[in-house]
Amino acid sequence: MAIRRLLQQGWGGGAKLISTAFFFTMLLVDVAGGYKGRLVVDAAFEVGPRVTALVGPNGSGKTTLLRLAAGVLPAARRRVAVEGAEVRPGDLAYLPTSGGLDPHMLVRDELEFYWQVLGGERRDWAVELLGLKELMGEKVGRLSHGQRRRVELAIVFSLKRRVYLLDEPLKGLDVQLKDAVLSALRELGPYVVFTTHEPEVVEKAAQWVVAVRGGRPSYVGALAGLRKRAVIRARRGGEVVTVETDDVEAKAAELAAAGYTVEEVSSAELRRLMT
Amino acid sequence: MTTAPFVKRAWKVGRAAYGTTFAITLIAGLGTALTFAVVLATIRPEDLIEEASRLPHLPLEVAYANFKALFIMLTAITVAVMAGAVAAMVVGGSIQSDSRNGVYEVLFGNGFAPGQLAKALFYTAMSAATAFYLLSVALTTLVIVLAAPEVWPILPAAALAALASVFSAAALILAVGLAKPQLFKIRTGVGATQNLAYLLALLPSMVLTFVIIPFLISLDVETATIVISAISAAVIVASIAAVLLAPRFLNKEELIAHGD
Repeated sequence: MAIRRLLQQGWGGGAKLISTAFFFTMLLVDVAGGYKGRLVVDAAFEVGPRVTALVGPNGSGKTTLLRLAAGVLPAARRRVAVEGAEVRPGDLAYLPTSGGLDPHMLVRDELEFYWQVLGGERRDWAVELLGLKELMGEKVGRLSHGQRRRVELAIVFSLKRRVYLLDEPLKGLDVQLKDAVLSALRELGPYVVFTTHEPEVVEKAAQWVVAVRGGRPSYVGALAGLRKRAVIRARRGGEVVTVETDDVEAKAAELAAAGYTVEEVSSAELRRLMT
Repeated sequence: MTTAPFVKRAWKVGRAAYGTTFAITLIAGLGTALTFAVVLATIRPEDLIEEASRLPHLPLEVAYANFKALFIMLTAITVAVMAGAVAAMVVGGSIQSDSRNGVYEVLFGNGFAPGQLAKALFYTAMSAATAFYLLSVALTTLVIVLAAPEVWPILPAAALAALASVFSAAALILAVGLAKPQLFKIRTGVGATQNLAYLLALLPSMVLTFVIIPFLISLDVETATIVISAISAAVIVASIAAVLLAPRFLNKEELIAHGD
């Protein structure tokens, strides 16, 4: 059933990836719904374990999809399962795009509240990872956007769950913390689905990619399946060039010889899916 | 187990967000009680001669005693309206700010069931109702002690009316907050600001206030006690029903809408 569904939805990974799917315990997300009775998302996909990037342009339905999957929004259809077994609400963690904190409260009080109500099995690890020790006595209202995001992440990272649904977890974080959070995504749980608008983040962290357009999946598959053609961004002084190529090494060498410094290499197909 | 953090949070958030309004409303309640006490202490039987003359079957002393008793009833209900408003602000303010700040989205998304939320907020509402009910009864008792110690027999009916006022305010704001949180949105027009949620929550206590006024003219304590007690009991039963039914109509979509 899993493979049939993937093929129906235009899984782009090719025969080799389809065969590897047999060895994975797949995560199924099958949801439909929206706001005030209007159908915004109607999507079903299966991905393998570890990290999945949910990508797509603004307004494509990524946030609504995660909200439906997390059970935050009433759904016309909702199923989140691992190998046919339903994932219970207590086995699922969800990070919204923003919010969850009251500006009048202290960081310590907010974290304590969520730890008491939802659980905080990994609170020490989360506090350490996100560098929150020195912020504990601060009022939420006095924090910067990035600092707030760290507290919001700590609430979800403190939970030990099977499936994590994270809506733009890196929003507002500095470079150092972004890397730390990206590394942490792999340690969080067996299934992590996160949204992002940055191709390089997908390249760094994800094994699987689900692209959404108009509330439906336009691509479901392994990131490797998108790496046939690359985009190289390179700089020479104030001049920035972006070139597409099938042979990354040769093109990078050519650019270096012309005095350019390669800044980023990403999948051309991935970029198209994200815009 | 999960209710205690909610009760603590509601009081903390409510106090921080609406501290000034709390203080003003409580001062207004105290001021009202003291004003009523002064009125009761200064009024004399001869001040009621004209009113008693309309009721020839009522001796002046009885008319005077009845007036005092009914005035105490009015005091109890008026103070309870303010106490109910503050209790509603603790519960409603907590629901409003948690909804606006995305707290419910985090809770629902991480496995916290709507039923658990309704239960936790019910305890929050009861904590606010109990605290401010006791305060309103204390203020009414203070008025009786200071100005009309002979009207103790009216206290049970006055206390029941106060209970109905405060309990209905806390219960209805909870029911509205869970089922129709969009009513918290403040609508402004030319010279008018409207918040339907608080208006609905305070409606029963306003009805009780208006019901007592005609009895201040007829000076019929017996009928007033029966009518006020019956309405109070009905209000309490209706409020319990609203609280019990609210979780069934919990509106997740609006609660996570981050609106004002």
